Amino acid sequence: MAGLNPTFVEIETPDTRSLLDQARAGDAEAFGEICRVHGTRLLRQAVALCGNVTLAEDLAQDTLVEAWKSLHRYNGRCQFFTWLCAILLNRYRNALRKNRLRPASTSGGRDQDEFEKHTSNLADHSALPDQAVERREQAVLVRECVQPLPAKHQQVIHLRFYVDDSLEGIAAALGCSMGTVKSRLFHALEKLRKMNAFSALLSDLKTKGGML
Amino acid sequence: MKPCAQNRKPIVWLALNALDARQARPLRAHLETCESCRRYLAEISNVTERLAEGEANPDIQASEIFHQKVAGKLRAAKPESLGEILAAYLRGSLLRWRAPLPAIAALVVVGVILATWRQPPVVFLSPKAATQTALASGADNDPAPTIANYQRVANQSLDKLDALLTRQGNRALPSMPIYTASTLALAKQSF
Repeated sequence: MAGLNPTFVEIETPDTRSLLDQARAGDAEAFGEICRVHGTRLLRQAVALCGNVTLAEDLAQDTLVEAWKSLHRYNGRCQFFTWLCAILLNRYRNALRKNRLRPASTSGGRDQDEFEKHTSNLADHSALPDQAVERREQAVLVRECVQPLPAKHQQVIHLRFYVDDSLEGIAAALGCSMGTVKSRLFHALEKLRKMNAFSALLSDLKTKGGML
Repeated sequence: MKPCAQNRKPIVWLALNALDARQARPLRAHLETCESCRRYLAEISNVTERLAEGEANPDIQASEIFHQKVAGKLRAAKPESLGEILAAYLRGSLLRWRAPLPAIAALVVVGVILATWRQPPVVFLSPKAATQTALASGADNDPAPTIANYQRVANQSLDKLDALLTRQGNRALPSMPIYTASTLALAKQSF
């Protein structure tokens, strides 16, 4: 279980804080440095959502640009990366509504080939232990199970489990109360518990656990 | 067996480590004695453990081209102007009011309907006026005031003749001149 961060405390490192102060004063170069710090993590989150590296790169870049434009709205009550991810999730949801994107689970064919090619360039799968490959496949399956949930439930699951911020931080990033976040998490987990696909994943886990 | 209804949410929050010690202590004590709640906690914990496995692929790295593109877009973009900030604030306010807006609109519509809808006014008549109104109600169908017509109505019923004469008398009352001794003298002089 993930530990809780202290409530409403500036969690960024002194360097990041200093860069944020400069960026707030209008220094684009300072914000560029922040983007270098968070770019890779943000891109990973975008790829996990889209399943398509090209679209994910666009999504992550647009997220960073939107963050720069609306930097005055960041109040330091959550991790800066959590705030970035909240923007990313909103942009992703809007893109889905406009049919510009498809969820990662439905992006097969050429997109999936491209994704595989890209990741294989980054790391040689054959060099990875079987367990690592299996873990990656499991991650994709888990993400597929989360895709049918309503957007507001996906958001809290994503921020809690993959960005790993406190409930207070998630509430601050989403602009809602902590009670709302807790309620959404409860309903999201309840739906996943009742979901057949997720139950199958759980039974698969138990079987493997028994074999080991 | 289902878990205790009042404990479902706290159990989920316990699995998320989102309960403080004061809240968690009595729940843990309950879990020791309630098997269905214990099973529910195990199921939710399995879900959370599974979810934690969905982490993003750590092999993906943002390339130098990615960072250059971001830098280029940042140079082209400008922070929001005051107008944009205000528009975003208003948009946010509207979104917050999105749920109650239909209810408010419905209330306004009902209010407008109630304000414009008028019931026919209820007029309380004195007994005399009520009698006159009742007598006058058949005035439109009355025959012309001729001797022949009066004879015809009298042949049917004397009561009908009485009612007809009363109606016509009441109807003609305002337009009929009222003769007094002085007015008759004046009328005589004019002739």
